[in-house]
Amino acid sequence: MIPSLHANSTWRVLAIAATLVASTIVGRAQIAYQVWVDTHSLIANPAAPFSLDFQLNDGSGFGDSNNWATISNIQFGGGSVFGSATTTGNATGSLGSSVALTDTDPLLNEFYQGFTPGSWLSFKVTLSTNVDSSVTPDVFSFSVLDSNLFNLPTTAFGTDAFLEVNIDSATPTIATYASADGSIPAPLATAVPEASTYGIWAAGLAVMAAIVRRRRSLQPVLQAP
Amino acid sequence: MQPGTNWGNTFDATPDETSWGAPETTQPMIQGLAAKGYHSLRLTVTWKDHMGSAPDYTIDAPWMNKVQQVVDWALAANLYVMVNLHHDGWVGDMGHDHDAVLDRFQKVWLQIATRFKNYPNKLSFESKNEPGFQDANGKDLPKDQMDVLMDELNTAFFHVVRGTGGGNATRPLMLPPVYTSADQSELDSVKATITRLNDSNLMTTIHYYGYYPFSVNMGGGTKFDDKVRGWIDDAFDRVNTMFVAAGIPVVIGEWGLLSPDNVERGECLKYFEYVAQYDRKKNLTTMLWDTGGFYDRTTQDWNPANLDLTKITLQGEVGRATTSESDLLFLKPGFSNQDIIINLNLNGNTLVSVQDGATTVNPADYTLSGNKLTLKAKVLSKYFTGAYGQKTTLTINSNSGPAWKIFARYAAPPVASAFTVISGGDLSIPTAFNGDVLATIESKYADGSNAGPVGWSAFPNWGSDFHPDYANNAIVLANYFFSGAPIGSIVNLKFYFWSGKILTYQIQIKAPPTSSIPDYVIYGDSLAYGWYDWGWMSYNMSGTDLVHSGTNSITINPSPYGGLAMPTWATPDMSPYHTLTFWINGGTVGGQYIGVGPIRSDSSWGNGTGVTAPANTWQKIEIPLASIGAEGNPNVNGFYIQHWRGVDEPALFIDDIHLSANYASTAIELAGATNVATPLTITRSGYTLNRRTNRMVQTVTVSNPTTAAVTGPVYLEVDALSNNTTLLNATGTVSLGVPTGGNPYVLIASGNLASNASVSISLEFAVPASGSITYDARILTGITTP
Repeated sequence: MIPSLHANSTWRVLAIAATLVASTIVGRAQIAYQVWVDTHSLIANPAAPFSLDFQLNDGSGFGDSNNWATISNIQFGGGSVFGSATTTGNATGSLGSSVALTDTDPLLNEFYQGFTPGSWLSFKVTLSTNVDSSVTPDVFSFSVLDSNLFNLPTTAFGTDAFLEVNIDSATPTIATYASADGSIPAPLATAVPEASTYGIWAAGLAVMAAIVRRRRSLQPVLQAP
Repeated sequence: MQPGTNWGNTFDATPDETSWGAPETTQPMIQGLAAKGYHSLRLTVTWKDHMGSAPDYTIDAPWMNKVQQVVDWALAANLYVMVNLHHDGWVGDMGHDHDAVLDRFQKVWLQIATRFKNYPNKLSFESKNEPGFQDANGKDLPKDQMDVLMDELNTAFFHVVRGTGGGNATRPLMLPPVYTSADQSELDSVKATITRLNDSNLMTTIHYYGYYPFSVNMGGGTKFDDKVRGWIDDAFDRVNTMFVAAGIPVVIGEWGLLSPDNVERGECLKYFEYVAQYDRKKNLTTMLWDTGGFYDRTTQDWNPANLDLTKITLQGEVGRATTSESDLLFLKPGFSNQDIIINLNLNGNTLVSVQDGATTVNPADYTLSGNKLTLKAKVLSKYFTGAYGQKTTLTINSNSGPAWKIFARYAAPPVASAFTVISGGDLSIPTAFNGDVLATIESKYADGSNAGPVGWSAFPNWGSDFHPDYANNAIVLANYFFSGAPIGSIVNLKFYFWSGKILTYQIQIKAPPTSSIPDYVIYGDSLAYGWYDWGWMSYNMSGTDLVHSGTNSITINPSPYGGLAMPTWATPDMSPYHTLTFWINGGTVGGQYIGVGPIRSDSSWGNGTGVTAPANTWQKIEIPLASIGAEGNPNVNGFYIQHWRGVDEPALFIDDIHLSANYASTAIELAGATNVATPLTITRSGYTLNRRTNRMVQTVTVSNPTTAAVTGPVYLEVDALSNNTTLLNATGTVSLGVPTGGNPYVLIASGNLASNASVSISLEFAVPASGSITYDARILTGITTP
């Protein structure tokens, strides 16, 4: 019986581990990044007022609405949001709360709104990662616009974006770029686990902990001469 | 005189008026022509078959009378009329038989001028149609020598006509340059003649059939593009400046396209419209070349088959007609929710309405911005379903000129599939057209040099060299297409479609397999058992005068179109055989011309192959059975030999007629398959709007995943770009006149692309008003100019 008990516990550990792996796989349907941007050079910059611009553009050619992006937890490091949002395609929200984009329009799904720069700004972007079957992927981008609503030039290839994610895989690469004049460093983008993933991980870890505790409590018995 | 037309293929036909299919000319035909709005008629006349011999060269009275009769009818119908020497090729012999030809020429014109001496000046004379001069071998003389003879001929014509007096003293006379060409040197020469003659009633004439590759559809000339337009502008501008501006009228005595049926209809229409309006602007008088395709003499009405061409040409004579970038519109599966943009050429007209079939499209469902017509998606969305092919006709109605038709086709990308065949017959490459329309093909060897039948161009002749067979899902190449391709070579083909799609295809040229099956002997020293002969010319199946092997051969005494049939009732199994072989000897003279072909079981004869007998030697002839429709054909039960000339010729000899299981020594095996034209890979990013540049930007990365460098320069060509945008940072546009001609390209690398190297570039597109940006990316490598 002891060996079978041991086997049961082994299977249970494997099952839980599988759950953890599964939770990781489930987590690949979307990604989340915390983005931090050094904006101190924009304070008292004559090109003000500035706007933050987010785009989620379709690659299928149809506007297939198969991806969405949420920008949340937006903070301005001493700055603030002002004015109202301008949107094109399927874009809603406010920098004061959160912004949501879906690639419904086949050309452009865009949100931009004014802000007064502080020393830094940060936001969390959560992005679904369903890959189009077309040769062109969906793309998410983040840019800063000047008073003319022109992109601040960056080192990005022609797009003048500070951050771009081409959704060409379930775990796409996030690319960041500095401003062309170097006054704004490339944003720092740090992956953050999704809340749902946290929950599954937490549940899995709790079970694991319980099993470990149980196995530890059994060990003296098992090891009795 | 404008507009004018030709009475083509009628009195210029040989030997007689109706020999080339024209009906006999009647007065109602001429009256009907005038009633259609023509003001002048070029009566092309060939005299050579209707005149006596030297020294008088008397023109047959009935012929002269008939010509005069038609001139009378034309004048009575208030038409200007021109008479010429047309297919009188003997005039060209002036290049080597100067005095006799000039004498004949003068005597012919003396008779014509005398007959019409008292006619009004609405009758004019043209010295010679498309004159050229040859040496004794029929080869054209050098240009400078031809110019001298042309001057002499025109001068003689002038003096002969003027010398008859009466109305001929002031009759308008047309002096052509050599070959009625608009080449500057020829124009300079005829201008010098006209200046020297110093007569106020002289005109010159040129013929205009357009930029040659476009006129016949070869050499990549599929589109009515800037090059085709440029040639028109150049020729008409020059003759205007040289002659019209100097008070010398210019008549475009013939114009049109050399092979209009080979040219995509919309492109053809645009050409005719443009020429007609531009000659008007340049004050040129034009004579459309018409053999009944425009004006149907039988019905005395416009030929319904070419009513579109007629209407747009006539519109060009009074204004401009509305056209569009193409008369083909391709509806791509999956894009039914997108607006359709059509680039019109309003040419100064105003859009009145748009029709979908017979239904007028609600004006709220389309917008017009400049020449850009945008149809809302819902107008055509119902056609994005069902079988591929033409779904509807859009009619663009303007305030002036005929309606412009655009044919909307539901079409997916075409697909070609693999095949293997031994040459002999035409080559049918299996192709699912999927509603698309073939424009042209390109044929190159692996090293980039031209392959195929043309030589100087990689783009063969539409029709004769290749054609699409939509009914049988094939692109058909003529049996000679690869005849010059070495064994072991690879030919890369590109199939260009009007949708902008390009299929790449590769043909491997191999030696055909050999066979050890012995020959089937039809004739050794006599016909084999079961075979018999009959004929309608003198022949001897047991001749002994000249023998290739054994004791006997077939002696044939060729009489006009005489024939010898050799059928069989033995019905041998001919399925293993691929080649009909025999030996032929033309005797002491040689040069006899015979045709050899199959006899079918219903006693009909199939098309044969022409063979010329050599003199004083035996020559082995190999005829691929596939080339005469006999390969594996159970309905073939014999062969014929027919003399293919209408005269008696000396005896010729044929021996050892075999069926061989081997392919002809010239045969090749062709293995075709779709081909990836380049090993380079293309990766695209999504499109991001850059508000600073106001462009939709995409990053494209071209990579070389192979272990070898790819020869540069490397270009990225943007094909089939959705017409809601343009590429704003293109390096240039493709110069070819194929459907993808004019498409933008971007230089990726000026040098080679090393193994495992990548290059990224950004493509910057104009921001569309709506809809997505789509295109096909294509890599071009190793060429100087795309």
